[in-house]
Amino acid sequence: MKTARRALPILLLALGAVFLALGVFRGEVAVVLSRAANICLECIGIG
Amino acid sequence: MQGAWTVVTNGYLVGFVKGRIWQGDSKSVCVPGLNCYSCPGALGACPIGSLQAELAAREIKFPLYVTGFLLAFGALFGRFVCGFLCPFGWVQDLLYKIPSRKIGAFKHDRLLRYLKFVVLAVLVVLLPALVKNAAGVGTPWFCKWVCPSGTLFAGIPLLLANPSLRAVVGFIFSWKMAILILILGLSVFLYRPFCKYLCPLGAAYSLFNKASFYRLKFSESACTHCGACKHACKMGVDPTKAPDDIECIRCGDCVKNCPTKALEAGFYVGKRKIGAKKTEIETELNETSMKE
Repeated sequence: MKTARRALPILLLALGAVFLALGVFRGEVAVVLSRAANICLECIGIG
Repeated sequence: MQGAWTVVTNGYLVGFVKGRIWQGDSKSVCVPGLNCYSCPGALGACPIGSLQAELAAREIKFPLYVTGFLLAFGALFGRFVCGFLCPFGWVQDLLYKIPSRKIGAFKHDRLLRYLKFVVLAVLVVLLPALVKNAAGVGTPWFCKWVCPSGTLFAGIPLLLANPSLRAVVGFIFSWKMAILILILGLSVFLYRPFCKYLCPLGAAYSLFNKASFYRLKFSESACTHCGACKHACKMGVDPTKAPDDIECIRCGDCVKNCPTKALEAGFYVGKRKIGAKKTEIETELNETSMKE
């Protein structure tokens, strides 16, 4: 149990890295970039 | 550190003057804190805005990319991000320094803190993912109706510098300004009200406090139970009972105020503190094995 708890941050970090890599592979970077690189009217209370 | 981080991640100063935003590739990378990507100076993307953008997109079923960032930041830092790497947290910190009568814990305070999980689940995840228009595209509900960070760091500077945006301001902007004024006003009397009760990013990171590399360690043998740490904590946490409490933003006030150094914060791999000298590690391991 204690070993599992100690390993948890490493597992979560590894899972995060895998998700990131899969997201990049699936082309999700473009979705984030297109949203972030243009003025988000909803964010500033207009849209 | 909070001020320096805010300046570093919002360094496109030309944007504030010309009323436009940075459009470089760094905008595809999420920053850890609640930092609106429509802030004229922002060099990175807000993780909560990006999560909603992915969930609202027609072609994405599960947002792997942004979830990956949240998992990585959460595993590394937990709510240390709230304490040190969030521009809106910093603003609330500054306002709380204004001399005034302060509000401490009140009835249902702890219960109200679960509201941020509702905000995360409903406004950030469910509504953007489920409510879509005819083209199959959703809306970033949290950004649109609540986010005071977006109003402060993006809405106000862009409207000040860009007359064409000023011409189309309507009810939603007034609503969001009211939320912002309420939160900023409350921040003078109540420590970080947005972080405590509403922030969906804080809610997400709080789930990692028990399982992040950055942790608070409590040594029972060194503690004299003087209560100085609990008294110093503005988030209402008792670090001697719950050093990994979901409300702990790792600000370090308890560590600074402990007279016997029974509390220590840092990055840990297992029981080993990264950067600790060998003798410190041995003492710590001996203490633990004695307890066991």
